[in-house]
Amino acid sequence: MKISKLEKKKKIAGYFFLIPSFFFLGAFLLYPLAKSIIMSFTDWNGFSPEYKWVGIENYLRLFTATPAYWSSIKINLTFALISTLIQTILGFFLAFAVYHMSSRWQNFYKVSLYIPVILPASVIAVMWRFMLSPDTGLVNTILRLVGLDFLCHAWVGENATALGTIIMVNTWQYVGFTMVLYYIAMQNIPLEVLESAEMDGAGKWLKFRYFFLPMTAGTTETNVILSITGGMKSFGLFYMLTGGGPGTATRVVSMLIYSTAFVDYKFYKALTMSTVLFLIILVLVLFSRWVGARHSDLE
Amino acid sequence: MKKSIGSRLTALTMAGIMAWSLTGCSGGNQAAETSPKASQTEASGTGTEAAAQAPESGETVTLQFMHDWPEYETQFHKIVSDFEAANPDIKIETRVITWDVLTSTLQTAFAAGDAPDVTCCWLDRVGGFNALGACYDLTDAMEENGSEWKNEFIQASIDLGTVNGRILGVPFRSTCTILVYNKTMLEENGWEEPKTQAELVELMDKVAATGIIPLIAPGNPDGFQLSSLTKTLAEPELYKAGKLTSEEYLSGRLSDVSAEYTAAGNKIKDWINKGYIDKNALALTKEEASAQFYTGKGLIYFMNNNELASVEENAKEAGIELGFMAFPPEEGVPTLLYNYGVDGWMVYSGTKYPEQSIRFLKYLSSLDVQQAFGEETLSVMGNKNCKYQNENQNKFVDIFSKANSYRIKFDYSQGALITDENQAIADFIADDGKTGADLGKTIAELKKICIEENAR
Repeated sequence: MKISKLEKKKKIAGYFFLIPSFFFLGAFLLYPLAKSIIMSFTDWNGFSPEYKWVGIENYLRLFTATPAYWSSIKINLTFALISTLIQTILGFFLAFAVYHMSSRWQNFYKVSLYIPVILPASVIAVMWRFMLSPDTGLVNTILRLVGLDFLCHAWVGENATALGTIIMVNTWQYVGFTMVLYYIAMQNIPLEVLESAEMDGAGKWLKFRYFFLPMTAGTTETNVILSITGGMKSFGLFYMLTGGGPGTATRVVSMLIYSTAFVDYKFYKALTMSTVLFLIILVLVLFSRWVGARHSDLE
Repeated sequence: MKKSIGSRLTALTMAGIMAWSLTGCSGGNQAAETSPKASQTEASGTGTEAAAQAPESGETVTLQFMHDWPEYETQFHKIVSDFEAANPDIKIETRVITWDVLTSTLQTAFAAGDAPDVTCCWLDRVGGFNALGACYDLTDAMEENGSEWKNEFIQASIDLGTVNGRILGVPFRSTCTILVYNKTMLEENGWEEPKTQAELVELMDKVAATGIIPLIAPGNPDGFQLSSLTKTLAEPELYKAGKLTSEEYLSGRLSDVSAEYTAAGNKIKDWINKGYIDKNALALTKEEASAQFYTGKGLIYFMNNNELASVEENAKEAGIELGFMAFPPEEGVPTLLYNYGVDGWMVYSGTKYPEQSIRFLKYLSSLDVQQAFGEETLSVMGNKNCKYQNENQNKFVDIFSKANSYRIKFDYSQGALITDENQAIADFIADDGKTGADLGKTIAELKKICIEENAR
C-alpha cells in the first residue's frame, strides 16, 4: 500500500515537473510552427495586420516561378550529403585510431579534435577568411612556398572552389563531434567480444569489419541524421565566410529565407519556403531512419 | 479503475495547458499586429495624436536616437552631452549600429512599432520608409520663420529627402564613392591623372603591363565595389540613351535597362580579362583591398569621401601621396556621380515627442555643430555655410559641385532589389559562361519584378 502511494506521488510530481516543458513546447514550437504553416497560405508581408487568404498560390509560385529557391536547395543538398559522407567516414577512422592509442594520446586527440566544435562560428569564419585570403592567406602562402603556385586559388571567391571550401571548413569544425560519438560507441563494444575474436585469430581488419563497423551502426544513423539536418539548415558559416558568394554560388536556402523575410519583407514567401524546407528535411530524416531500420533488420 | 481515471485526468490537464499556451500567444500576437497599423494611422496625418501626448512643461523626456557611425561615437557623445546641457528637459539615449544593417534594422523597427524617435537614414531612401508609414512630416518645421531652417541646406539635398512635396529628411552630410589614387606611384612612373574614360583605359593598360593592379575593386560581399563599378559603367549608357534624366528612371519605375547593362557587363568583363581589375576581386574584402592599395600593389581604389580621415592617416603611414577624382566621364557625357547621396536624419512618425525631436534635429544641423563635426571628421557637411581647412575636403566639395548626380528617389519600398542586383552582377562576373546580354536581361527582369510588386 505504502509503496504504491509513493509511486503515485512520484508520478504526479513527475507530471508537474513536465508542465513548464509542455508550456514552452506549446509556446515556442507548436504555436510558431502552426502559425507559420497557416500564414504561408496568405499574403502577409510581415508587418501589416491586413492580409488575405490566397490558398496554394504561394506554393504554386514556389514550385514554378522561384528558381532561386531550388538553386539554394541544390546547394544545401550538395553541402549536406558531401559533408555527411566525409564527416562520417573521417570521424569513424579518427575514432578508430584514437581508440587504439595509449590513454595519454587519447586524451590529447580527443581534446584537440573537439576544440573546433566548441568555437563560435564567427571565430571560425574570421580565422578561415584570413587563412584563405588569395594574396596573404596561410593556405596560398604555403602552396607558393612548396612550389605549388598552380594550386593557389581565391578559395571563397571562385565558383569552382567556394562550396568545396565551406565543406572543408565545416568538416574541420565538426569531425571532432563525430569522432567523439563513434569513440563512445566503440567504448561500448564489450572487450570480451573483441578478445574472443582475437583468440579465434581475427586480425585488425576482420575486427574492424565484423565488430567495429556493425556495432557502431546506430551511431552512424544518428550521425547521418544530425549531419543532414544540420547541413540543410546551415546558415552561420555560409553567411560569415562567403556571404552566399561569389554571387549566389553558396547562397543556401536559410540565407534566401532570411533575405526574403527581413530585406524584401515578403514574409508569406519566406514562410512558404520554410514550410517546404521543413518537409524536405523530414523526408530525408525518415528516409535515413528507414535505411537504418532495414539495415538492422537485415542483420 | 482509479488509476486509469487519474491518468486520463492528468493527460487532459496537460493537453489543456498546451492549448492555453497556444491561445495565450495568439492573443499577444494580435496586439502586436495592431501596433504597426496604429503607427501608420498616425503617419497619415502630421502626428497630431503624438503631439497631443506631449509632456507637460518641466517634465524631462527621453528621446531614442540612432546613428550608424560607430567610428564617430566620441563626436556624437559630445554633441548629445552639449545638447542635453542646453536643453535640460530632454535626455537622449543613443543607439549605434553599422551602415550595412541600417536598412534592415530600421525596417524591423518600423514593423515592430519600436523605432527610435530620431534616426539616421540615406535621404534617397526616405520614400521607401514613407511607404511603410514611418516618416514624420517636417515640412512645417522646415518652412516656419520664412524657411529659416530649410535655407541652411542646398536645395538639391533637401529635394533628395522630399517625397510628394513633403520634406521627410534633414541633410547631415554628403556621401559619395570616388576614386583615390597613389599619386606618388603615378608621378614616379610618369603617368597622368585621366580626365576621360578613354584616358583611364589607356592608363590602366600601361599599369597592367607593369604587374600592378590598375583598379582595386573589392567584391566581397555581394559584389560590393565590383557591382558598384558595373552600375557606374551603366550610367553613361543610360545617359546616352536619354533614360537617365527621365522621370520614369528617377522615380524608380524604369525597368528597360537591358541594353545599358549589357554594355556595362561586357565592359567590366573585358577589364577583368585584360587585368585592369584583379581576377580574384570577387573574393576580396574591403580590408584586403585597402591592404593592396597601401602596400603599392594597386594604383586606383574606391573610397567613400567620408573615409578621408582614415585614408589620409593610412597614406601617411604608408608614405604615399594621394590624389582624388570622380570616375572619368565618357566622351560627350558629363561627369556622373553614380551613388552620390546624402546621409541625413528622419523623425519616426510614431514618436511621442515630435517637438523635442525637431529641436534635436535643428541642433544637429546647426552651423556650429556641423562645422565642428566637419573639421574633426573631414566630412562634407549638409549645412551649406560650412568652410573647410583641409585641401582634400575642399576638393570633394569641388567634385560634388561640378559633377551631376541622377539618384533614384524611391517612393516605395524596394525591398531586396539592390542586393539582388549586386548578387546578379557578382554571379555574372563569377561565371565565365555568362555574357553581358545575360546580365542585361537579369537586371531588367529584377527591376520589372520589383516595380510590379512594390510600386503603386
